[in-house]
Amino acid sequence: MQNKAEQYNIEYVKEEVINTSLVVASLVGGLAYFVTLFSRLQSGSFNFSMGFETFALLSLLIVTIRRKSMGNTPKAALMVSLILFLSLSDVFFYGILSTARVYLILVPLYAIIYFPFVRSLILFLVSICVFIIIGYFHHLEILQLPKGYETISHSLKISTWIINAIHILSVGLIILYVTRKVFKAFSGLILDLELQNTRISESERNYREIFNSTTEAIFIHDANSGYVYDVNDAMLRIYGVGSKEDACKLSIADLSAENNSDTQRKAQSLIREAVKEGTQVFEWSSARKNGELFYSEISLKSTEIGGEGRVLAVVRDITERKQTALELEKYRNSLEMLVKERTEELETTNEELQATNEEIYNHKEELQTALTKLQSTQQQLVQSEKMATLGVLAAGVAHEINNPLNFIHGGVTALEKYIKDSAAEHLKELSPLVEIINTGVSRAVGIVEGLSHYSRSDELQKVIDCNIHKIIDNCLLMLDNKIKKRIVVDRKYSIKLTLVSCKEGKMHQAFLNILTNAVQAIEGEGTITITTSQKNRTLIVAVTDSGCGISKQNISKITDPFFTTKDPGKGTGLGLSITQNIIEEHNGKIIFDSEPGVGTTVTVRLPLNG
Amino acid sequence: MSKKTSVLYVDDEPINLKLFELNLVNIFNITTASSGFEGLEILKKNPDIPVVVSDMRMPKMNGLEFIAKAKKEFPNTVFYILTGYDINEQIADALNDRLINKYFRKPLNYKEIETAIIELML
Repeated sequence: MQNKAEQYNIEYVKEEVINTSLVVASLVGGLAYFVTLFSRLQSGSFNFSMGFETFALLSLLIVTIRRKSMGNTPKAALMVSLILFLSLSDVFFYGILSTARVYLILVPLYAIIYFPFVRSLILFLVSICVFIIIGYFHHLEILQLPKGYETISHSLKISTWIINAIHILSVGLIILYVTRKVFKAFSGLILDLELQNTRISESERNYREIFNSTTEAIFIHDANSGYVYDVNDAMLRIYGVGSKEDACKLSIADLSAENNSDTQRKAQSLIREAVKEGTQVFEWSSARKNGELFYSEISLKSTEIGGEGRVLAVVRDITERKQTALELEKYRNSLEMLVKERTEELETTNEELQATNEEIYNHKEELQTALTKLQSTQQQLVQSEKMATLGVLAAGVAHEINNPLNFIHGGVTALEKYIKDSAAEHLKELSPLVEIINTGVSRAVGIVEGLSHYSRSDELQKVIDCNIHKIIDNCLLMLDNKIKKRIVVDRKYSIKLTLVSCKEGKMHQAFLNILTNAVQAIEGEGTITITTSQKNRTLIVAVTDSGCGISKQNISKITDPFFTTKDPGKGTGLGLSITQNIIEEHNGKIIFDSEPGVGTTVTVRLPLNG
Repeated sequence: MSKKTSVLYVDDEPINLKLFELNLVNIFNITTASSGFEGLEILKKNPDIPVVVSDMRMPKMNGLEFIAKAKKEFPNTVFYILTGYDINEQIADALNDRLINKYFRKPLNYKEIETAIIELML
């Protein structure tokens, strides 16, 4: 490169030309000198020109030897001087017969190479003038040819000299002109080249500037080997590498987090992919020279620089971004964890709440059940308390009413007797009235008797084992006059023994009431079915009648004292109330089922004996 | 019937005494007392009264207390008691102890008493 550039340098060319000319001139000059010397020695004709020639040759030799250390201008000046001296001295001695006069042509050639054009032109013109002057001296024969040279008239003519001068002049001018032109063109070319060169280097400098001024590290890799070919300043800065030369010695693995052959292979395969498939962008774990790691984003792009396949790697330090992303990721993860935790907590709480809720619900249900039980117990308590109070009250009232009733009854009995004995004539009128009073008394007596059953005083009946079938049969017997010819009684008794611990009298009364109601419910003909069965040590007696039934409004009130639907005088409204009391007193239960118009079933449950 | 049976009736209620007398005077020889104490007095004076009917409920001394005392002194006398209630423990015990022969429910059925006493005297 350096040599080439020198070859294109005009000064270099000029120097080469002058040096070569000096060498050639020395050789030729030397040869000519010795030939001349030899001929002179033979003829013995020495003149002072020989001295000039010797001087000239010596100075030429000296300059030739020392040509390398001398400037072009003195060398050229010597060269031109020698040419002038050689040619003009020859002309001086040999006139028109001079052979060296043609060397005058070389004057403008050398002059134009080393001197400015005008100076060269003047020098040449002066040389031509000197030539003509010498010719004039020959014409005037002031100058004589050396001995042995025949003077011919032609050579003395001034015109011959002038023609010679013109020829030399024209050839010299042509050379001057052409050389000048060539030089001009050459230097123009050189200038142009230099200009282009400047432009190119400028642009290259610009590119390099751009190349170096990026914040991203740029590697230029060899497309084939993957070796680092060039890097920019940013790369040095980022990787902490001292110089680009150092950088070019590093492998990709050296600059990666994991410095091993795998990393290198991977990097090279990525470079190949970039060549084959176009730009590759990826993230890379890089390492600085001092071992510090950083995250980078690398974009690989295949390109051609200086006709060679290159891959441009632009490396951006994304550590911060990455860290932010990682941090974000971490936050996100922890947030997710947090959310998950919270969700789990919430779920647990929810489950707990649900469990609690269920518990509460269960408690509520239990409470509800308990409340219901409590309410019914309370009702029962109230009822039994009511009944107890009522019982005591009723018994007291009954007793108190007994006396006044006794008065009436006794009074009427006495009156009746008196009428029979002493006022028989009024008997017809009075006996219905007495009858009415007696009816009233007997009804009142019935009520009082009924009420007296509530009294605790009669709880003292003996508890004995009773056969319920027997009791029912007794009751039916008592009611026989109300049943016969009208009602069919169907006894569906259990085969097993039905012994119940009870107060016989009370149990009679209870069943008598039930059966009386059944009988009274039947208007005209009907059926009473009595079924007994046993279940879990409980006796179940069901009395079903085909009577008028009990309406829904009434069925809940039938055990209330004094509630009755019967005609006045037929019932006190105490029967079922007393019956219920008796059954419950025996730890039993009485249930009423009825459908108006179809009939009623009274079910009595009593604990079996034993 | 040669002679009417004497019957002592004890009741704190004068109307009852009156009615008892009115209704049974033709059949029995009725003596009345308005308390147990008075009844005992009468029995002491007339120890030959064979039948005593007493109300149960009376102030200070009830029917059974009166009968219990009287029976001690006059073990051969027959006692009946009247009660507004159904049979109770005291009466049941009195029946068992043969302190009383029978009990009658109030209001009195004079016919029942009449029959019971007549049957007793036969």
